[in-house]
Amino acid sequence: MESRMAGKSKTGATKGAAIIGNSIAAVQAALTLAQMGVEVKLITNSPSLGCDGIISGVSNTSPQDKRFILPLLLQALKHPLVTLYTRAKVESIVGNGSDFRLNLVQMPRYINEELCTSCGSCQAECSARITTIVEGHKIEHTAIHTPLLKSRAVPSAYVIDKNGLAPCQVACPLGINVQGFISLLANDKTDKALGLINESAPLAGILGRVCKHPCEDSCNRSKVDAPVFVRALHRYAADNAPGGTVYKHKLPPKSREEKIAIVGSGPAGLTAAWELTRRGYSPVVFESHSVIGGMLATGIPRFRLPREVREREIEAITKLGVNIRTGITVGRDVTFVYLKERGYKAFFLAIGTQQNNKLNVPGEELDGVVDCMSLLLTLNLKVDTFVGSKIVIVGGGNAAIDCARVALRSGAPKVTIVYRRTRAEMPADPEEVTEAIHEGVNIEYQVIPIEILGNGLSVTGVRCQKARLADEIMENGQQKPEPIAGTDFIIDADHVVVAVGQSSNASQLDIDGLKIEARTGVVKVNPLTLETSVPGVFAGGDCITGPNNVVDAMAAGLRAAESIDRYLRGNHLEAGRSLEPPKTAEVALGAVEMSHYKRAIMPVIKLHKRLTSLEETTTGLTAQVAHRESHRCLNCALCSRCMECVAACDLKAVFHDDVDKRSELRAQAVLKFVNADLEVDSPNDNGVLKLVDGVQLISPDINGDLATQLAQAMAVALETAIAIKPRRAKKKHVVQSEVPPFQSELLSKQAVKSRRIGVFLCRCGDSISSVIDFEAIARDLSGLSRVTFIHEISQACTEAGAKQLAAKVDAQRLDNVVLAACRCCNVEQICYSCTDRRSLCLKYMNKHLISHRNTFMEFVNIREQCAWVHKDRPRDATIKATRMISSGVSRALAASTVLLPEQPVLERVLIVGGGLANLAAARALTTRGHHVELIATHKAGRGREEEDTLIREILGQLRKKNVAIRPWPDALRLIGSPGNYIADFHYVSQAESVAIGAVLVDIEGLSKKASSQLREPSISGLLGRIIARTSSAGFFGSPDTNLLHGVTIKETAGIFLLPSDMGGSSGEQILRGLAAASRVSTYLEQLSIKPRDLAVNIERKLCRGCGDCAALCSFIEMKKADNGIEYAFIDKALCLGCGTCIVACPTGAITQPLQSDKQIIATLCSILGPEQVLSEVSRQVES
Amino acid sequence: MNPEILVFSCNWDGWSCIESAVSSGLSYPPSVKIVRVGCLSRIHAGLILKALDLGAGGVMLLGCEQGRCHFGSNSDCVTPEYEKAQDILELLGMDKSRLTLLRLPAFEGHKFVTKVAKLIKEVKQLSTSGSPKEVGGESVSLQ
Repeated sequence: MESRMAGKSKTGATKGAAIIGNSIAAVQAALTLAQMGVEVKLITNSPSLGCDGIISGVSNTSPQDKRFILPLLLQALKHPLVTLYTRAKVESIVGNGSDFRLNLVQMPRYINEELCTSCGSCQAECSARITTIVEGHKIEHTAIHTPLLKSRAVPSAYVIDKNGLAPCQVACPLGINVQGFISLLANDKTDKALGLINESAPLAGILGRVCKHPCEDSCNRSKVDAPVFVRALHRYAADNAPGGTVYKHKLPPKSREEKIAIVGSGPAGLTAAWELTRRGYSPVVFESHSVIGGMLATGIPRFRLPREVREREIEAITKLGVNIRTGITVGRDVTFVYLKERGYKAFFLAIGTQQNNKLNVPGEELDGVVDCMSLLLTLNLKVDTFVGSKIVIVGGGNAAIDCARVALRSGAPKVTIVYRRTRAEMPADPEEVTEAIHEGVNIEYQVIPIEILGNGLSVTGVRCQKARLADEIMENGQQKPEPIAGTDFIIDADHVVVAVGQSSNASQLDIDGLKIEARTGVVKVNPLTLETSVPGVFAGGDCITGPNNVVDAMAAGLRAAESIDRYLRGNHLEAGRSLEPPKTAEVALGAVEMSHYKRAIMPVIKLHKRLTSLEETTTGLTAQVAHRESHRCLNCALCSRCMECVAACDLKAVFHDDVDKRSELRAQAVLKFVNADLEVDSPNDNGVLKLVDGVQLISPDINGDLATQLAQAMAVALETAIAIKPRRAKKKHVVQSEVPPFQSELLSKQAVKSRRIGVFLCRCGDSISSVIDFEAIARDLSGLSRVTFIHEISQACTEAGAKQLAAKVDAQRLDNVVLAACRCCNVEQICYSCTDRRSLCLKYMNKHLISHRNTFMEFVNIREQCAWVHKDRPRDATIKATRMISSGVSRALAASTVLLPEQPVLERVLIVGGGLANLAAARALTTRGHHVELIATHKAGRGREEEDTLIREILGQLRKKNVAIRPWPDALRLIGSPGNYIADFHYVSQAESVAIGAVLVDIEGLSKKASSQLREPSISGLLGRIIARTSSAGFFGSPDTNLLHGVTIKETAGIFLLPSDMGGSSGEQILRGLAAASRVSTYLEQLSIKPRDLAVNIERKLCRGCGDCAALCSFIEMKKADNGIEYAFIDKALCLGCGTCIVACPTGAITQPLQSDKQIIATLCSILGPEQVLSEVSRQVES
Repeated sequence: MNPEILVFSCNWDGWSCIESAVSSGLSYPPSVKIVRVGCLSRIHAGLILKALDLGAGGVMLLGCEQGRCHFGSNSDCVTPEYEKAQDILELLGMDKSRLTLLRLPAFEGHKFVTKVAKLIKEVKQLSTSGSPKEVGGESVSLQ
């Protein structure tokens, strides 16, 4: 994934500047440098530019500052010389002087910044609610989000917040994305939840009932109250997904030819077969029983795992294509050698444990003494099996508990379990023990049977001894129970079940060279690969561990499948695998918002019903409870990787496997902005970035106001530009910019009748079309005259979207286009509320449509204004959108021709006033390479020695550089056009004229001059009008508005004012001078300017010379014709486009082509009034 | 049924209020229609009356606070046109409260929503109970 501007600059040569920081000052410095022709690499650790908290309502930034900051961020991002690196950290800098290398690490965004249009379709699907703390405020948002600012973020591309792997997923031996499926359940997407589970493992209905749930044991929620009831939710998904279980292939079925034999159809064998089948193999499973499922069928009683559930799950596996052959015992019916001869290349032994361990006490051979597996098998699969009336079960595992419970259900009145340790040591699931006791099972703890008593034929009782836990520790880490002498007692029994474990019987497989653990009988394997001592033969499940549980057996199946796949492909078996669990996400529980619901309780059937049938004891959660329970999840990993965003994204911009990217940047200068209060700059892991010589550290005065911080940034940018990108004097002044300027050149009036208008509707992913009925709009608009084409488009703000649109314009021979999307005007300016995507939309439309084909475009915002604000009333939103679009059509029809030529800028500046700030500016501009004309008279002895010394010093330097320093003239007149002014100086003895492109005026200097002279210098012409206005009403061109216009509508006049209340220390004055010089410099270096789209036109024939307009606007000049008649005149490049003069004009001489009365009225006609036929409106407009 | 409200909004602080209302999840009725202009001072009394003529029950002029104009204008060019339009409304026998001038700082979405709701309520009252000053209620035609 590349940053949006990446690729713009060629890497290799050391060029430009690197700016590190996220403060607004850093952004300003980047923009200023870029405007001076310097390539800028802007590096921020945040996902978006500027201040994280702004606009979200949590920042303390004042509305006034926000007005400035948002357009500034957009201008910086838009600038072709700025390359932005988001989520980036500079790990080290090497080099010095003017050649630095920066080692950069970019953290993944998981979203392609270039593609993402922030349409929000992904966000609508994301169910992970997470809490972020910004500047002390808690903000709740989804895991996939635009960095807090929503669509106002710059860039607005989404980002996914991730926090590694959730503990539940790490704990799951199968690696099931627990948080993911729970979050899908929270969004009521049961089918998708089951689908996600089934991507990792099969048999969801079984796991949801009998899994030993290590996920719950590791759940962070247990630190708060109780763990999320994951197993119940797992079961809920499996039992309630409307689409049922459908497994998906990873590779086409039967695409791999190698034959694989799997021995045993228990959970391990089934899972291995399932996974291998998904990978394109066709394994054959050999099962010695007539039923499929191993322990699932023979060992787990039906009241815990109903037969229907088992059959359903196994059917889904066979449907996938797994071939299971029952009634075949490998080693007896077919031999290993035979199978090898038949071409089987790989084997998976999953035979489980068949041999029951003995008690090894006298009387074990008596009639009525049985092993637990036989009892469970017969009770599970057959009816009418004999069960005694006084039954004693020896053991403490699940098998013992299951036997006890199944015996109760078969009518045994008295069931006793004897176990040699305490309840805490019992290996059985605690829930099952509790249920068993509840059902009436009597458990004798710390009791060891020493003899089974009989009447010579059948069993009559068990002689036991009390036991205690000895200090001796056994091999399995438990304390050894030891009998206490003299505590013998007898329990009456007519049926004794031995449930003290099973062992494997792998030797019956008769495989040459298969190593088997002598004492326990388990098959020896490499724990990482599960490969046995025989190459190509793998083993897993209970036959390598001894009696264990379903989930671990299934995990072995998956592990073996991976190994077999590698083995058959000839890949290394171990490479890249590890037994180490991945790192678990760390969660600060205090900061997490959580649901107040308590852990759900699994509903159970009534006790008498339990004891009289084999019906499943638990009934599963209801939809409502499951939904509630799913909301208890704390989203430990933040993003749950449920992948809903991937499915939702039209543009395929989401990429969850994104990783850190390292790169080396080269730069001639490095500026690091530090410690600005808004910067979120965490030091590197190894401490603060070590800086080398030559890297400039800039810490903007965070207590100062925004203007001061920006002044610092501009000053440092200018100094950097002077150092690394000297200005070469341009001989030729007129330079065509790359993209021809936006021109709203229209067809002549006569052509209106044959005009073809195309309406394009942007779906914005689905953000607009999910609310607004595009078909209804198309139906209504088709009646509109001149609308010849209506077309839907997915994302208009992408380059592909613009190209698609342009192709349609060509094919349909459209003259005008109305685009209904999020962009809200066709004017090239950046308002306070403009967004990244709106500005890109215009950029691409300009590139492919407007400038190339001279197609006039109208933009109608139907996203915020209709789809979003009226999302609860889709019908009304659609009607409103229709009318707004028709108003766009009307405006297009009513627009009139406008031609806006570019004007060159002379790279020469006149500086008026000899204060320290002005002189500092003069010096900087001279050094930068601009021609400077200076008016300054220095009078020393004002009691400010430091300032005077500095002033004398700078004046000396300027003289050395041959800067002409003039005394104050008696009169100064500025005439001409922006960029090409003529300044006339009148002295008593002589007059002089110079050509200049810009003016910098120290207002303080002017007033001082006025007070020190008898007569105020007469300043006339444009400068005179501006200064007069500034001192009286603060109209157009006060220093503040100068600055603001620079980022919104762009400065065109080139007349810069230094604030009149400057004061401050010498340092502060110099800083302000440099900042002003920097603005003058960027103005001069743009080489040409063009009028604004909204510039007015004054029709001389209609003007009666009343001067009302000129009284309001200092840019309007009252001129006198040769015949003495006065008329108003405005240089188009000066006009700001506010339109105030239009209202003031009594004759209608002033018009605004893009905002004419006619257009406004056409708009009103279209959007107001009763449901009138739209075509009537358009006829009205046309006439 | 809500009366139609036409809002003439300036491009700058005014529009930012409307936009931030939407982005902070607030809403206003669909009967509120917005026409955006570069500066509120572009709107003259004729345009205001045209909106009412075309069926708007009320008109709101939404712009920057005094002294916060994007164009740096300190001279108030809006109020004269606003008052002129109100005077004409009176002459026509319509209630002045159908027209309101709202000046807000940037990004005040909440205030915009509150004020537009207030205007709707007032206009509704005029059309149901009828203002003693209004001759023909809402359907007064200016033509």
